[in-house]
Amino acid sequence: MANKFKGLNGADVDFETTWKVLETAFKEIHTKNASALSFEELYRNAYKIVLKKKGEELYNNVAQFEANWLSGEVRNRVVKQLTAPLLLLTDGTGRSLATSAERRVAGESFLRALKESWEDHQVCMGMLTDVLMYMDRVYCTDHRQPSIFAKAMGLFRDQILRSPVRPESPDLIEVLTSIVLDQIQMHRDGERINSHLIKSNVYMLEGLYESDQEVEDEKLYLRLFEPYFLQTSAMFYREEGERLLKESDAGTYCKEAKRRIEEESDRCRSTLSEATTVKIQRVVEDELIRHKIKGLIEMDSGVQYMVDNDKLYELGLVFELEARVDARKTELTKAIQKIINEMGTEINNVAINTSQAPPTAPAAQDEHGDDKQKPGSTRQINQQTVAALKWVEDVLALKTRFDNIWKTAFASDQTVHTALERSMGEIINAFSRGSEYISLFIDENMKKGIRDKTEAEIDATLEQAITTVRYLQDKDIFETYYKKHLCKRLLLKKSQSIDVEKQMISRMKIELGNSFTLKLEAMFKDMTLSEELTSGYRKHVAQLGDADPKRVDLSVNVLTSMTWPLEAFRGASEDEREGRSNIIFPASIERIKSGFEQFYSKKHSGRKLTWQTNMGDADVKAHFPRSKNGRPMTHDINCSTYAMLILLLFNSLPTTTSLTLEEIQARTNIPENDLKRNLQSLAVAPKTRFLVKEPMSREINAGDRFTYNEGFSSKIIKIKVGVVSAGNKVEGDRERKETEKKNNDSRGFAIEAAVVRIMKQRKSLPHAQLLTETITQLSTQFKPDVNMIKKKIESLIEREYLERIEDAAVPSYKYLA
Amino acid sequence: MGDKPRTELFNALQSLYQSRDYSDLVIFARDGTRHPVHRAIVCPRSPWFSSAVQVGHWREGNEGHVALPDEEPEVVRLLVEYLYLLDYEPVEVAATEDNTSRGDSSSDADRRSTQSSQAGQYGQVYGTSAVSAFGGPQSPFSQIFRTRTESALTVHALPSGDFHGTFGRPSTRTRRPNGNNVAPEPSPLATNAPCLALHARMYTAGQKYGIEGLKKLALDKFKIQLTRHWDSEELAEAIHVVYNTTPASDKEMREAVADVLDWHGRLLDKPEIEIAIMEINGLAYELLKRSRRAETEYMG
Repeated sequence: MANKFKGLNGADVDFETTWKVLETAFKEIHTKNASALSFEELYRNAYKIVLKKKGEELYNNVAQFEANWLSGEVRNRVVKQLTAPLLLLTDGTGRSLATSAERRVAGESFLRALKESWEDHQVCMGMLTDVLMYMDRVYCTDHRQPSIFAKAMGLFRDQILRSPVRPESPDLIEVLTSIVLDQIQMHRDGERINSHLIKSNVYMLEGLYESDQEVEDEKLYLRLFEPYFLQTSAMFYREEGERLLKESDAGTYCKEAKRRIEEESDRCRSTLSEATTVKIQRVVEDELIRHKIKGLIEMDSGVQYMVDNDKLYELGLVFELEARVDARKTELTKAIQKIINEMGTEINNVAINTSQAPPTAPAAQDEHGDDKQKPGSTRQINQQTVAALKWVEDVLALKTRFDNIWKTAFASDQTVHTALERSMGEIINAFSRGSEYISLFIDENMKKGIRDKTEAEIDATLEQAITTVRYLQDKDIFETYYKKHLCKRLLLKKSQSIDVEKQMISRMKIELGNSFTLKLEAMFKDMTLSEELTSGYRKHVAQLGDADPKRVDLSVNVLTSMTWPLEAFRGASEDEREGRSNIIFPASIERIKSGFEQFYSKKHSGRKLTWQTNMGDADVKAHFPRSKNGRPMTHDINCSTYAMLILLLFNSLPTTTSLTLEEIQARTNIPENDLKRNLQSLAVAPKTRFLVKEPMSREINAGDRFTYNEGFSSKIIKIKVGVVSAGNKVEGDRERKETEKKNNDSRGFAIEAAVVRIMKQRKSLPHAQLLTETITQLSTQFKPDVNMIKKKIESLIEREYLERIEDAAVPSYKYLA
Repeated sequence: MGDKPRTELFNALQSLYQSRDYSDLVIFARDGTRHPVHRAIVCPRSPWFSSAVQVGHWREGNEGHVALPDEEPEVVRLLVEYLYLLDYEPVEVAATEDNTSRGDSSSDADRRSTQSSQAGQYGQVYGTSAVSAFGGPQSPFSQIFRTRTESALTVHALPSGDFHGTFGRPSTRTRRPNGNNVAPEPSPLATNAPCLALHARMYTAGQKYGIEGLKKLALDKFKIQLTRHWDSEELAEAIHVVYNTTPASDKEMREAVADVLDWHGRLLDKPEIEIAIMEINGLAYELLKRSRRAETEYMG
């Protein structure tokens, strides 16, 4: 009974005999002669050996068989392909001794032989693995041995790749590496190579590991090939980069660098391993970009040149290159900022020089007839206005230019954008008159610029204006100027379109906030109310039934005090405050004035009206006997209120009677300065010389006498008397000082208010923190001066709003309720 | 339910199995019985067959013949049946006449086809594997399945894989908390013929040809048969098959054998069992360990 089961565990199997069968078959397999072999038979034999617990012997025999086969048959076949030009490659002499064509051909036969040996080995071991499946499953698993396939791959590594080609020679894998590197170098130099062959060998190196444990990062490719590849590549690109910097221009350099990077990526895909793509890119980027970008940007043909000559494509290349190595594009951004800064400083300097230069071209002013006779300072002011407009336009052009570069060449990159914006802000804020100039730019456009523009063009202009405003740090100063300029536009009806004005305001509202536009909007409201008031008053007068045809018509603008910067009209500071109220009106005017005052106080009792006589204007009909080619003619004259008062004086006089300057002043009580200016318009300006002055001279002096100009003649019916300083001009130095002083005062209040607000909430706060918070709070309005904040804190302490905390570790304040 | 497409697939496989249309490979058993099969069915299920017929490698592939001269005809027949039907059903030889199922004419085609047509319903055709493979509550065995929680079938209801590693030997499951060894009740699934050696051989075939599912199925069937036929004379032969044709690292069949000997102490008195234990060192050692463990459990 016992023997009945003897055969089950293969006890009848003789190891040696069975192994001989297997060995013979394995030889057939290795010589590609397996098609007559029975898989079942081989499997069964191996299976029985393993069942008989001879798995280990079998495993070792197979390994030994493979080792012998590889070291005997296979190695010879491969080494035979190592011809002279290849052997010398490892020590570097080969390259000089053989032409690249010779080396390439020899290298390819070697690569082919190795590739074929490797592939044969793979196929054969695949078949052996099938036959030895049971051994792998049972013996190798139970005894933690590498599979026979892995073992045999290791043997290939040891017997072929890691064996010296011949005694005292380098290992075969070193030869392989140098051959592959040599071929890659040929490829870089523009020769054609068989990348498929190399790729096959790389597959091999990627499939082999340093040890039989097959640790992923111990692939032969990673350990024994890739480092050398990266090293030689670094050397190559270092030299190439230096050569290119010397020999070519920046644009070419960029194109070349880009081409090389792409070429190396392609090489990894087609010839080497995708695993190397990132690493070789890093090498090329290091050598061609990271280490060279500074030099590249600063080349004669570098970024400055590209910007100057609008080489957008090349700029794009530089951007692309640096973007590869630096997400912040530090060097390019720095270069561009420097250029913007230089160009911006130039614009600022031109503006300063123009505004300070003496008037050079008086002839240019001739076309504006009414300017001709005005004092030189006026002309200078006009020139400054031109400079202001030019400045804003130049700044906008600069911005447009770099915006275009940014969009086209810099892929609308956010980091670069931030840097560009900062630079633009810096230039605009570096220019002390920026706020005033920008406001003037808008003023000019509102008055003239938009006249013939389409809606879209107007829109673009408004957007441009807002763009510059956005950069301004000291928005409060801008507000001051804008208010002043707007005030004149509204009151003197200089604005082309109230609609556009309102659009501008709503843009500012969006951009700068509600509080910024509050007062500006109030001005518009006053204007609307005044219109209603005027028409209401007219109706009221009509209902009175006073059909006096000679009655003077009146239109009024009632302006809320504090909202309107009326000093804009006052000219250079004049002590007219008391004088103004004492203006002497002729009876016809006085009647209207008090009539309106009654009408107004009925509507709004308790409000006090102050007449701004210096700001009004009047339409006067004037009769001249010889005006029209010696025949009488009536002209419609538009002139200032003061001019009207002066002209009316002569109504009640015989035509030949003259009045002295002093007499006129006594009869009207017009402040001296205003009087002189108006007389200048009426008696000196050639086209509006309604009065004759004695003596004839440009200047108005004490004792001058004025008479009705009977001989006045003009073809034009409607005559407008020029009003000095009616338009918005750049401020004179004195005006500016005043504006600054006022601005500083209002800033002082804003700072004090902010400090008190903060302290009221915090109760006590260290000095440094109080400074920071104050600056933050005010940053939307202006950038406060630290010294000013300190002074205001001192002043608040003096006035006992705050007190110093005596024994605090850091200087601190306490709020006193 | 969504079983209909699946049923269609199984029906197709079954009809392929019966007709052998389009076959492109012939398997020969030891006695020369031909089994025409389909490479497309056989090879994906077994790495062995896949290697054997790989294009251009071996004679088998070139000629389209696979000879299995070492395999018994019944084993080959059931192997093929399993590959198509996910189950195998030994031909019932009159159990009382001959206790060994190694019948000479078991591959008789008539009897085979009669049987498969009788067993037209899935639950029967796929037997226990229907439980293990699709073992939802719809299975015809669900009733048994639920009540007999201690049966060998529960092995499949539990998560596979590390089960043994986590819970120790499967035999511990059959112990009551007080440590007493209790043999399972005879399973109603067990067939009349013991077929113990045959199932052991099927297990070995699963191992040899690399078919894990077959191993599992054979193990289940083996255990089910043991619940009823532990006293069969076939046990000794089965023990020899298990210990001589599976590697020592392959524990499950060995466990099943040791469990039976453990549960039914009087088996040790049988002469053929005694011989088996004496001849097979591993088995004696296994039993020794078991008795020692039972002692410590009892003491603890």
